[in-house]
Amino acid sequence: MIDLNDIISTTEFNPLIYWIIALMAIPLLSFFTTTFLKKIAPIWGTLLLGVNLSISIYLASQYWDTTGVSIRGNWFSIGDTQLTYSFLIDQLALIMLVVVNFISVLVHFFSMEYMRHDENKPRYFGLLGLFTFSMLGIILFYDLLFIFIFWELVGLSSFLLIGFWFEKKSASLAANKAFIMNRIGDLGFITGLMILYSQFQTFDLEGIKSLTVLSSIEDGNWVAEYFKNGELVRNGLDGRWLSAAGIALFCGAVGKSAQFPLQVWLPDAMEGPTPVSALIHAATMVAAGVFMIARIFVILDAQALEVVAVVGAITAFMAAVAAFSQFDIKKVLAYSTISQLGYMVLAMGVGAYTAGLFHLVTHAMFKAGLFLSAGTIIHQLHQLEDKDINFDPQDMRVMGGLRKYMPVTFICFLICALALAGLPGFSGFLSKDAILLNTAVWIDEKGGGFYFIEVLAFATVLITAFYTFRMIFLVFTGDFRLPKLIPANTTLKPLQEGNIFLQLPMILLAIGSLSVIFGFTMKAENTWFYSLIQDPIFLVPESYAAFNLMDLPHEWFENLHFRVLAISIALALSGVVIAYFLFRPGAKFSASFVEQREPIGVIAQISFYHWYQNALYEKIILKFILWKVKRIAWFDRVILDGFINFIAKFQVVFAHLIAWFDRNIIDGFVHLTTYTTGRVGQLTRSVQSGNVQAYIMAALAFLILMLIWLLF
Amino acid sequence: MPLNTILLLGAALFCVGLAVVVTRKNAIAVLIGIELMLNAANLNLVAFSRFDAVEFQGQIFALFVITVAAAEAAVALAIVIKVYQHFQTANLDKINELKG
Amino acid sequence: MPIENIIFYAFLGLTGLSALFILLSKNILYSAFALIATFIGMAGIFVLLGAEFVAITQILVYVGGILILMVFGIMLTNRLSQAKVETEVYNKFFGILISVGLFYILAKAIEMADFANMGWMKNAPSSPSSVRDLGMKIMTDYVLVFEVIGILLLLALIGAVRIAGNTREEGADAA
Repeated sequence: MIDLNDIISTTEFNPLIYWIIALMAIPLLSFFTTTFLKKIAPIWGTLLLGVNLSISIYLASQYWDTTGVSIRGNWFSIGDTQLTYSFLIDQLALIMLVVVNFISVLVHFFSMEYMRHDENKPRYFGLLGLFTFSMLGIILFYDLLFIFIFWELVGLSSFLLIGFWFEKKSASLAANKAFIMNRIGDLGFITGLMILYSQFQTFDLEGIKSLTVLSSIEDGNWVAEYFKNGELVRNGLDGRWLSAAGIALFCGAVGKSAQFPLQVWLPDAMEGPTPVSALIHAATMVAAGVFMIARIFVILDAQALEVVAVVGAITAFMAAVAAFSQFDIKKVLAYSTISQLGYMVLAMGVGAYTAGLFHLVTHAMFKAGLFLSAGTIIHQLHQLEDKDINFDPQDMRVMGGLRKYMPVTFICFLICALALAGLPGFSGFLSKDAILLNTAVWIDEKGGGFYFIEVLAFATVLITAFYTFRMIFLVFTGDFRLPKLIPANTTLKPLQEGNIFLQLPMILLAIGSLSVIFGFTMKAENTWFYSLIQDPIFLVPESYAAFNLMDLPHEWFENLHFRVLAISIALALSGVVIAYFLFRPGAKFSASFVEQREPIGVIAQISFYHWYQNALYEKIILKFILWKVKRIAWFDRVILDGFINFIAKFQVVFAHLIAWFDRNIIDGFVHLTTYTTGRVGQLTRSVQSGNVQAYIMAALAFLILMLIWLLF
Repeated sequence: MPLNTILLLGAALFCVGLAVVVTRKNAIAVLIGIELMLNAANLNLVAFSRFDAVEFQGQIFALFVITVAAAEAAVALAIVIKVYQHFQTANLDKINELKG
Repeated sequence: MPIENIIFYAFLGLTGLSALFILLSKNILYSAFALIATFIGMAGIFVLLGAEFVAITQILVYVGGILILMVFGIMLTNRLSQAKVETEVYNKFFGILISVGLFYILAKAIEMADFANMGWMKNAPSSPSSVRDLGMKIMTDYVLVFEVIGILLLLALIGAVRIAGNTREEGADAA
């Protein structure tokens, strides 16, 4: 029997805590100080983040080979209930630290140019600092309650940054939408926290894991036995609660990582500045959901994982379909992000822990690179706007042939796009291949209706390659379409390549999208990432646990590997070829593209409107909620307000009664007293007339009375 | 000469003097009343002295009363004159400085 | 009825009636003169009671001294131009009530005391007193009181003069 207090006892002092505090304090300092620094805010924020990146790299080099250092302490106690905080510095946290800080620094650097003309720069850089602080909190803490707190902070900074240009109605609406969708997911997160806490009475992940591995299934009940404060605790819940806890926690990830059915906020979130989209809505925050699943991975049971896998596959496919007919370059990237996040979630669902995290890292690089490249294009196109020339710089219909004007951007974009499409030689290929392989193995083992997951996953490969190269053909090849669209009497300034501030981050991220960074290999298993992070063993009771991919015979992988590799490369190449035939310069589709107001054809319409999911929400759920809200408002207004008004009226009447009583009875009594006293005073005063004869009479009268009494 | 008759006369004189003292507003009239009352007392003293021929206590006391009355009258009249000078009236109802 | 009794009741009547006149008259001067009549009546009664010295003193002091003072007082405190030196009357009801009540009680007390049957009254010597004996008594047994009363009288007279003296002079002295 295990004692909970031993598991979550305070660890010995470790100087590492200073580094952890520094890591979180520096972005927070940036948040608090940039507001006061007007001109130098961008440089200051970037410098602080640069320091943070240095610390992260230093920590990574120091703790690379350790199995994980945990630091735990008492936060506070209420009665017997002890709440702890704990940090875990393991390889996963270190990799995330470096990735987040690296991209954050690049985005800061990029923003110095991108936001140069925005007067709210200090606020912008402060919010980037707040976001980085919150994100690092999620990464460093190893305690579900703290992860939840920072989870919410991340949501808040996302809200603030999406609505950064809140003067725009669409931006503030998008911010609201993102926040509300996240809240729906967080409801699940809280539910999961409550289930786990009621079972284990701790939020500490180490404690939860230790107790989960000791829990057992008895007669369909999930029983956890442990000592707490010297007393035996025996908590038994129906076995379904184990799955429920996992699924509830996964709901949080569904909101944050934009999974079906809550993914609709992410395309709208593109209203924020493009560097923000790169940092938050492509590389880090949306990946936090996947990271959180990784943290709780070992306590997910088979059923929860199935839900995760199905949701991931559906999301990946739906978003990929939605991406292929968008006009807005950022929308394409947004749907692409959702799709790739779906891949990561799918990987988690099928038990491919390492593959999912690997894809998280590679995706963070190439998607940030894509966003920053797109940001460069948008920024440079924006320079061409003036009072006579108005166009949407994010619209691919105005672009075309940019290769000639912006060669560096083109190369960076191309490298990142190849990684996204999953072609050999680029990082996306390694990680996506690993996911597809693991999915294939899982489905072979699982069998039955789960084949549709495999179909969706492979179809997504084709569509991804297609929409990626559609984007490249539309943006970079052919002729520049903008001069034909503007009024005849205006002249355009020449389109220029972005300056060093815009180029350097792109180049770095493009380099990070090359597969050689992770190892000179075609197989994900051979990368250094795989050697650092292995699939963990499930801790839930055996009858509920999913089968572990690592336990499967090695030949299985070997047999499947070549087939998966071949199919995925073939599908990706065919996607590129289809895109070439449809959107190459001079092709039929490409020619009519500029004139289109919206895509033609049923499939394209479904894609453009993202399966009409928004419309569905507005028509059915929103209407239902509005109807219900009206009923509740009626109840509020008529019943509750009526009751309160009645109480208020009763109070007023009662107060009047009391006032009357006060005025007439109590005051009357007081007045009577004073009146009596006054009259008595007047009476006695009147005796003192000052007339001596009256005194004599009075004296004699009393003398007579005395004599009468004496004599008779 | 029955004793009771004289005593009744004394009592009557005293009461008349008292009535004068109480009812008159003029200070001199009040003094007259007081003299009446003193004489009523004298009458009693002398009447009882009739039955005390040896010691003459009553008569001697009556003499002293007369003397004191004379002194009293002198001082009282002096005061009345002074009061009149001060208040420009000898009416006692106007002189009510003691009024509460 | 012996002549003595007639004289007694005559004096008694004089005394009582003049006293009543004092009570009823509003004119102070008349009251003062009625007071003379009262004193004379009383002096007569004193003579009949065998107190000749007291009677003489009564007339000397009261009629000759006090009443003159009274008349002077009346003159000094009233404007001579006034036709009548009258006083206002008030407290009539209570004054009369108290007086009558007191008289009733005194009369009742005299009646209840029943002096006629008292021992010392019965054994009283019937011989009338003499002025000579009275003089002897004053100069022997009561000499101290006599002297003290003389000093008192002197002081009273000096005091009266001092009180009634001119205030302005006094103020000048003080200054």
